[in-house]
Amino acid sequence: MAIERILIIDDDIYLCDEFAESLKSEGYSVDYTDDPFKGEELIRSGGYDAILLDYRMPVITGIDILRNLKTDNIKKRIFIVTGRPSVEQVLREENLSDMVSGIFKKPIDFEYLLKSLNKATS
Amino acid sequence: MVKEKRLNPGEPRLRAANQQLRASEQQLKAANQQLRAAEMTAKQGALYARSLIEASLDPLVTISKEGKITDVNEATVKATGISRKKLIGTDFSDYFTEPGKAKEGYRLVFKKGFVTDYPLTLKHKSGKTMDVLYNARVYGDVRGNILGIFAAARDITLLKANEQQLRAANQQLRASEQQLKAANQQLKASAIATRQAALYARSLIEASLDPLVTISKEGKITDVNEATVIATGIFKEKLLGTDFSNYFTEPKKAEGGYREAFKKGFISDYPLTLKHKNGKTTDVLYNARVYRDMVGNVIGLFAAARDVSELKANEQQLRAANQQLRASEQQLKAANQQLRAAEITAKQTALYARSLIEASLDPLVTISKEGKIADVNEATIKATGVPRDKLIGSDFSIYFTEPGKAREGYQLVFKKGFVSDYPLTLRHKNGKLMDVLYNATIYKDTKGNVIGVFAAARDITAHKLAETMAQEERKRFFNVLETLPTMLCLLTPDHHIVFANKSFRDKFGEPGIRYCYESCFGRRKPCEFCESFKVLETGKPHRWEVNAPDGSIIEAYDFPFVDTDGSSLVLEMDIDVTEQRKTQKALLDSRTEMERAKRLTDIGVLAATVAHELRNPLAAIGMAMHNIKKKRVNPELDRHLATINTKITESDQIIDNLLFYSRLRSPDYKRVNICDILDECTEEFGKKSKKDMNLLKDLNTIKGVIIEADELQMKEVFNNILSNAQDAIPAEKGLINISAENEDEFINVLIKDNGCGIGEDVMKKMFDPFFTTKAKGTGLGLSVCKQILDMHDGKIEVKSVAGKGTTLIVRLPKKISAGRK
Repeated sequence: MAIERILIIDDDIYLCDEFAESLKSEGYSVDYTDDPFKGEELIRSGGYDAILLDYRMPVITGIDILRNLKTDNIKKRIFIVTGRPSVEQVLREENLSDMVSGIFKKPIDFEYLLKSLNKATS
Repeated sequence: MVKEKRLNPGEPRLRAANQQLRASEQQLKAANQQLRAAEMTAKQGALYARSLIEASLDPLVTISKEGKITDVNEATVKATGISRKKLIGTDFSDYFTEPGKAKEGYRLVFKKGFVTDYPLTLKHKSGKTMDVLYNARVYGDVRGNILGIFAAARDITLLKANEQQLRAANQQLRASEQQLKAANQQLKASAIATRQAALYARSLIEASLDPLVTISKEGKITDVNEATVIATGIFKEKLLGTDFSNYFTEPKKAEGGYREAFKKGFISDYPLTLKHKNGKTTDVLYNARVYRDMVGNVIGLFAAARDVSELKANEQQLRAANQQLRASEQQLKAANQQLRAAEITAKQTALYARSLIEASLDPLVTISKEGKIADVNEATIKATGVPRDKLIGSDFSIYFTEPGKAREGYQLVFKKGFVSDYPLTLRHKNGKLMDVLYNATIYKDTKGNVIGVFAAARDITAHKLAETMAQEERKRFFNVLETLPTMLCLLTPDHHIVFANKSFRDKFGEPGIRYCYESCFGRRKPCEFCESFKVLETGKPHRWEVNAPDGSIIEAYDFPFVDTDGSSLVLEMDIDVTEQRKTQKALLDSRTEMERAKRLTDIGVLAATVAHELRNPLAAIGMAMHNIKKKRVNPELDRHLATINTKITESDQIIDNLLFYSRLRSPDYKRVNICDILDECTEEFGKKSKKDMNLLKDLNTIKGVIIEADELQMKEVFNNILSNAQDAIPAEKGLINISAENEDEFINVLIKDNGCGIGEDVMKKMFDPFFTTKAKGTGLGLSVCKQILDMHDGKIEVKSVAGKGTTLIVRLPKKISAGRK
């Protein structure tokens, strides 16, 4: 199943804008939001093929969203995008490693990201 | 000049009266003439006479010898208001207010032959009266026989009135004369007074020492006094009429002065400088006032000059005198204060002495030369039971069991001058006895004469008792000390131990007569570290530490101590704190560890927060740049975009370095195979390495060695060291050599490079945080390595030769001490 539709959830709206444009120019259809609550809703109901989720956001974090989704047993192709170094450890501790398809470090290595997205489909 | 005015207001009337009087006199004269004429012509003709008679205005009558009217004229008829017929034959005197007087009148004529100006008052039938003066004459016949009286009345009513007026006029005249006289006298007096005043004023003016002038409205001198002459050096005659302002240094100012005076009416204290003919000047103050005539017109100015120079000089003298006076006053005040202070001190001293005497527990007395008590204190009153007033004046010796001995005692004082510890027994009024020792001296007055003896008694009864009690106290005290579990001793300043309790003796042995340094420390002279005797200098308690010969740590507390005989000793309390110290150290160590860990955690949290915060904007920049690259039309932009990209990567690297430091947490000690860790590091290193170089590794000596360490942290240490080595080695023929040493409890890992080496300056600082020789380094790497090794009870060392290479030695214990875990 190829990835066609991507959702970006990040509290930095500038990053969202740039990120979305660069992905669109690669042929993807991209939506984004800086509101984590809205973001969670879209994950559930939006029908996206891949979700790029920021780790740390105000009020609720990416981890909180993952937890909520896990509780409702919703499985999606979610990638964590973060500047934090120790995310893997946290995911392990929270038992959320299975919710995550991959981790991208900020600043984003775009080529690596594209490669990963391609790999994800195959 | 005084004019005579209105002197005699009655003068015209007087003249008229006089004229009338003269007229009347004339008429009378005429009448007399007529009568004579009539007489003379009586012979001529009776009618002629008759007509004359009738024509007369004056009432005429002839009176017979019997006093009967024989004939009258018309005037008489008019005057009486009675007809001729009725008049003739009647009594002449009937027609008068005073008939008696009338009768007397004609009788007088008959006697004397005439009467002149005989006053009577004629009575008119109507009642009206007329004052008359009768002039009468007898007439006879040719033979000379008296026939009768011929009488003429002259009406003097008007005459009388005129007379009164004249009298009044005369009185007025006299009064006016009086007034004139008085006025003249006044005038004379005032003339004298004026002249006297003028003379007086003149003499004042001349006598004045101040130059006085009068100035006319034109400013000319109209008058001067002697003082002005002296002041100007110019004669009076020369001065008069000249300009006032000529004689001043500032003529315009002088002119201004008198003009102002004329305007205002006066000036006061107007300063000017008067000029003497010889050139000498005098500072003056002018006071001037206008003077007027009687009408009020200003005639001129009267001006007086006050010589200020002398005044000024006087003022200064006065001021100086005043200052001196004030200074003297101050001195006097100060002297008075001192005196008062001295008085107070003397009083206080006296009071203090008295209170000392009274407060003394020993009975004190003063004894006169006759052996009588002159003064006592409260203690004496208590000891004898006798009141003060009874004691004073009585014999000193009567209060003792042996009066003779007492007398001998004070006599001895008078002889020798003093006596000490003279034993006597004092007897209280109630019979109780007190053994005392007397100490006495003579005391003298300021001149040196002996006044008496001052004696103090020391009660030795109580003293003896107290002594025994004190001794028992001491015994008890020492018993307590002896059995205390704390070590106690008493040291003399010369290093003898005069007391040592059981605990002390158990630790340091029996002192005996030996010195403390001998018996306690086995030395030949005082211990150089000893602080026990410091208290003898400071008088304050002192605490210090010492190691006993048996290795225990002793905390010593020293206190100043006064023995019964008054000598200064040192009381020392020693406590064995060896165990306590150990526990303290361990506690301190663990606290230090905790603090360090906390510090690291804080820094770590800070660094982590900063790091990933920075990563977010970097991500956005990176993304935007990617999009710009895609969209760019101008190829020239590529270079700049590449620069931006590089710097983003670099920023990321810096953040990584910072996070490296932040990840420094407390080690998670696990049993790890050190060789495995090293292998992993070198493998990764080989993959990442950019330079072409050789890496030799020989870890045989530590093969299979297990150490207790945090795996991740160990990796970080070696990664860091390898990275540094790579930076140091040359681009070609670079060589890194890793070897190891195995000791019983430690292992050493040596990483050697053939790089440029490290200078001595750099070596000193290379493990300091933020010290770096690299342009892009954070300087955190080696300091973190050091920290990690510290936490593992390990060490990192460096050996280097400049230009040849560097060896870094990592030393690790195989086991981590219990305190760390």
